[in-house]
Amino acid sequence: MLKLPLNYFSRGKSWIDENVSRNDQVSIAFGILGFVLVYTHFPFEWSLPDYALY
Amino acid sequence: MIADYFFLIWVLGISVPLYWLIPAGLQAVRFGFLSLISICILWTLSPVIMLSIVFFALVLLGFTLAQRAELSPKHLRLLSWFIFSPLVLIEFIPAAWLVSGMLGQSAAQAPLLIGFTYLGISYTAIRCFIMVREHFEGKGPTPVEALTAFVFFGHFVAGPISGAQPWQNVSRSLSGRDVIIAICRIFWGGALFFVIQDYILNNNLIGRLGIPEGHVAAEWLGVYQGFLGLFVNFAGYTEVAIGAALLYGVRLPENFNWPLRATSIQEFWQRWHLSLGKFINTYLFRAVVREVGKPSLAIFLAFTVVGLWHSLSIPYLIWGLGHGAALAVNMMIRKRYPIQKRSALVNRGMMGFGWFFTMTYVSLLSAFANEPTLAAAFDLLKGLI
Repeated sequence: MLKLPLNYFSRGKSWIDENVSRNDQVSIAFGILGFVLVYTHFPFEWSLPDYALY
Repeated sequence: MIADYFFLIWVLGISVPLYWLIPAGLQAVRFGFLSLISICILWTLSPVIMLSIVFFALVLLGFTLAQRAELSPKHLRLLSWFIFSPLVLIEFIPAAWLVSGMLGQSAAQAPLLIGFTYLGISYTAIRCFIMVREHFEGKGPTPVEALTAFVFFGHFVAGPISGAQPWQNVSRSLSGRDVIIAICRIFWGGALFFVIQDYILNNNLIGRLGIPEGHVAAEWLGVYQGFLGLFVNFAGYTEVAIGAALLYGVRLPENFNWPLRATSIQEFWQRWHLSLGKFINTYLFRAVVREVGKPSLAIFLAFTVVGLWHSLSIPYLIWGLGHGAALAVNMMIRKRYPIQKRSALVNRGMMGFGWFFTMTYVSLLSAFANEPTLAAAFDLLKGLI
């Protein structure tokens, strides 16, 4: 039977666990957090130092 | 990654669809297109970088021809170590005459080849070395694969380090899963590199704790803060590089596996900068073990060399000696006192102590090595006492 992500904390494997590897789940979670951080802080007050251009 | 995150997004947004529009049967053309874009970007970043790439490409070609001429494999393997010899020269040659000659810029504006440029060139030397060795084993890249591996803008400056293998096993089509994971990794890498690193290093966190500047506690916290900033910087860069490569169907090796969880120096190097660790293990550690037969001595020598590869300076020599000595001692202790069954409480206590000691040791060595001069490095140590 198909288990929805809402069942994640219930016993047995959820839809996510059956279809997305644990590594990918971690990447997606950090990706969403990364998007929020980048979106809320853009544009950055940062640039490469001058010497990097040589 | 390249200098500007917004520019990187633009480059990926335009080049990735064009790359996949090229028919799958024309993989060499796809790589040629990617190389062309990368060369344009690297040229704007530093013309000196392009000169070094031409040099290493010629070195690779030279070794390929030498192997075809059936020169002694043993001599060729020994000769391959001279690939690193330009690094000795590059670190001390002022870039002024190169830059003023190529761009007409003032010599006074051009300092030594430090920072990103030197790092990029030293990583290219390792890639060149690995590809030469792959050639010896009959797994060498085609010219276009080698060129793309050399110049790919995503991994040029700080890795992950690999030979031609990821470029030989490139995907011929782009899956939805790869796109999602690549975008996620690019965003997380950007957040680490631009947001979290900035928060750690530039927010006067120690001052906010109420610790006065110059206090011993502030100095120690500064050491941990510097290492955390370095990790976040490096991990962020790697995430973006792996994500960008994945958008072109290339799976670069992973570089980190939660290194801040390491409870011993040996475990730290099994989690930190994995692609460099693989290089050390394959070409330095095993080679020295074969010659000398003593693993603890081999690991000590290997890390001393790696310290000097980072930078030809006394602080980095001490960094290499420090890591090499700690790993050798760790190895000897493990051999003499194998892991025994203990109560869970004792195990947790030992792991906690191991974690604290490991993080302190690597942070201290990192802070010491990254001081600009030896005198400054020793001043740092004095401030901690």
